[in-house]
Amino acid sequence: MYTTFKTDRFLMFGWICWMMGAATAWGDDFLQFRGADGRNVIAGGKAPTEWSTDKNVAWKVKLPGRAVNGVIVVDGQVIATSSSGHLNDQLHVYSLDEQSGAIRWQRTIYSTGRAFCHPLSSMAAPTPASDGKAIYVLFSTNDLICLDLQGNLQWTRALGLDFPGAFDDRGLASSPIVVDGTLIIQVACQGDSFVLGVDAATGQDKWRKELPRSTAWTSPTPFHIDGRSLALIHSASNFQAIDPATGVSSWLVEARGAAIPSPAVHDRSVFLATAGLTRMDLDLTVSTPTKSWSAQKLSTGSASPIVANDKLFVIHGNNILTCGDIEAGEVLWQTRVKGSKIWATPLMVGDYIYIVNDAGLTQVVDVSGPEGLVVSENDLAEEMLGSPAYANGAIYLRGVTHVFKVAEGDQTRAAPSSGPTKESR
Amino acid sequence: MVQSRNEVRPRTSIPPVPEVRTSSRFGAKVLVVLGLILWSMEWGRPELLGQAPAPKHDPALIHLLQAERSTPGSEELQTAWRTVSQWPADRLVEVLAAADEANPVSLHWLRTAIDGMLEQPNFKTPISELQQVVQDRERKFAARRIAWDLLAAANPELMESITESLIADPIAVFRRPAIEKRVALANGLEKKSAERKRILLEAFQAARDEDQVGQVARVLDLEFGEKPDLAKHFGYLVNWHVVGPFPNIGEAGFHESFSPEKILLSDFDGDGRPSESLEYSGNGGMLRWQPHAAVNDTGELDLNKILGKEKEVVGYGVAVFDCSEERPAEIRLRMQNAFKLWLNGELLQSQSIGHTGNAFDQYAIPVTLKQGKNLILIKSCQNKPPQEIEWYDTWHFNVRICDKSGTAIQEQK
Repeated sequence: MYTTFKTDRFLMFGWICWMMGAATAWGDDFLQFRGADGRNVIAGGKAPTEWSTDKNVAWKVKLPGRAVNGVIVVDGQVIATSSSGHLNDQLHVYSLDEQSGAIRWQRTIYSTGRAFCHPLSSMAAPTPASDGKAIYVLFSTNDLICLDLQGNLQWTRALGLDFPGAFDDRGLASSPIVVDGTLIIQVACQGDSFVLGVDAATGQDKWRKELPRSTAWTSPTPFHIDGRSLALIHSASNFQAIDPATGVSSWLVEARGAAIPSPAVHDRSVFLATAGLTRMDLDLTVSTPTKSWSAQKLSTGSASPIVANDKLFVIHGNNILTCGDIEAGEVLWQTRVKGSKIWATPLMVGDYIYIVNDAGLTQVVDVSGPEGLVVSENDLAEEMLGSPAYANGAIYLRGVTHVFKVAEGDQTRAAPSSGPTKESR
Repeated sequence: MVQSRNEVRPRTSIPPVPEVRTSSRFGAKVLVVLGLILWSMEWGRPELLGQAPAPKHDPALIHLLQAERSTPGSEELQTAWRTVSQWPADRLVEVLAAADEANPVSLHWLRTAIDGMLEQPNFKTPISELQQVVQDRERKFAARRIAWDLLAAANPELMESITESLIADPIAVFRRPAIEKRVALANGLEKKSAERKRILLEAFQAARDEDQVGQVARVLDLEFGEKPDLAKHFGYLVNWHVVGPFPNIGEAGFHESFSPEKILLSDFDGDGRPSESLEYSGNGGMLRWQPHAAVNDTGELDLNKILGKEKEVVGYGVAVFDCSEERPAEIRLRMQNAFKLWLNGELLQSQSIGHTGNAFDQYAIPVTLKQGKNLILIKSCQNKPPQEIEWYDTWHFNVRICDKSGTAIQEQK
């Protein structure tokens, strides 16, 4: 009897440990553009603040072609995409082992849609998404595929053929998100523009809503309010919250957008890049969100705003990091950061904001004090346009050709990889 | 044992040939046997006997080939994919044979299943079979391209050695590396040497893409003083007549059929000029066709320079192409604005997006040119930009006439 009791307790203890481990692993995954909650803020996280090409880089892996998106981290894998070929029409998905950087599997498809873009961009501009069960990859060609976590193809869509009038030839870049089993795809250009709800399990359309025929590289943003999950869509001229199951809009208000930055969310508020920055407070019981304030001095360049600790952070087009008060929309402090251009949305881990410029220099800013303080500049000497990701104490940076894992301590002594393009330190 | 390409072709079930015995009625029996053989070869085909023909492909491949846009995924497709992705290397040629028949969506399934095959333990890439596929110009592009990608990964040295044999390949993916190699070879030779010039000229003749042609042409010009005729090389239409502007308020002009759309070949005189009597009411009064030459090196016709840097306007360009024979061709355009294109009065392409990016050969429109004069009409619409962005000012295009491989079709003189 005693033995049985001990065994049961042992099994229960093991089960609890397993559940905690699973929960932690899931919680630390970085599942889509700006993370699972779309905020790019890791409140309790800790990551290195200093690195260089020969310090704190656990591994780096060269992938074919070019990418301007970010990576995601799911179930011990770092998922990265790229496009290659002189026509940009070879589209790649890579699964890299989170610990070692070894290539677990890779998939290649050939574009079914138009593969033209500005030389700065790539067909790998949208960041992939995952719900922890599968991986959803959208390319700028409007090719969309779903793979399970082992890389088995589940379904594939050729949205470029389904919607031949939806293109831009400068390069679409909106990243998909998954909300409650629906994959939300935004295609906003001067041609046919829409937001599409796709059944994540089957790849079939659930619904489609037209958007204004005007270019917007913004991405859908997940938003949770009063027990409901919504997808926020900020197109070139309006803002709406969409029910992922039905496609019905809870709100649809005019809000001319800045075209590139995506909405930032905090509690019951959303911060929209307009001519400046606009705060709207959302309430499901009213038909229109309340505009709280609009601040010209909080305008943002290409990077999306981030919000944490009742403060918001934007990077102007002239590379000034500005901290604002979310209640009043007033500027609290500003500090200049380096770079000819900053495309990537900054990442906040703990008290630090990681700002990646287009030359691969990450500036780490301590924002815990009354002023922002640049505490380090970390150069990886590679063009970088994609937004950084965070998982399990490590930061993942996507250069146009390499994926870098930045981590401290044991993680930098990872097992060597079998991948021929892997460079382990 | 690796199957050859022919081994995956339809197989028929042939009845056994009866045994031949020697007898006094030998001649008659021979006739019977011959008859049976003939029957077995021709009339014995299963479909003529009411039987289904033996499948051309493995059932798993047939499933994957049935994928199309309306069936993003299914359990059958997923099962078939997993099956194929676990096949050994010696079945790769089967998958490539299926790729010859794939549509763009089913090609996704096949291509990724091959990636799965490559990850099987002890997968040994069938090098010689892949080389055959790459070099077989009768094969479809998809199969050749997959073979090319796999070969490049598995045996780059071999790829390097066969690259040069593909310098005249009709498909750019295979042709480009050979040209790159010629340029690299020339770059290693003494400047201004005859050998360097010879190799550069070879590369120039083989090149079809703007970047490679431009790269070689610049060296030929600067180093050897030989300025290649790029308009002729690409097949740019250079001699245009232009009329405009017409109104395009709120982009309504895109949909409106202004009178220049009615122009006919019979409206042209013997010197290739539209009749002086063609006069249209447009912005600012009555408008006539005016001759304008495109830039020779780029084929670019800049409507901002010709019609003024205006917004919300429509302009038309018309050109005549004299073809020596009726033949298939492609009209290829670079165009950032909304446009329509007609060939001999038939509307071939209508693109309503106000402003896009631009690229060499941005649109490739398959056509049949008739023998003699062909009339090409372009309508280009300049819209009002939503923001004050410099590149929204662009209003230009180029057009070239070429075959499917991008080789210019020359006008008859």
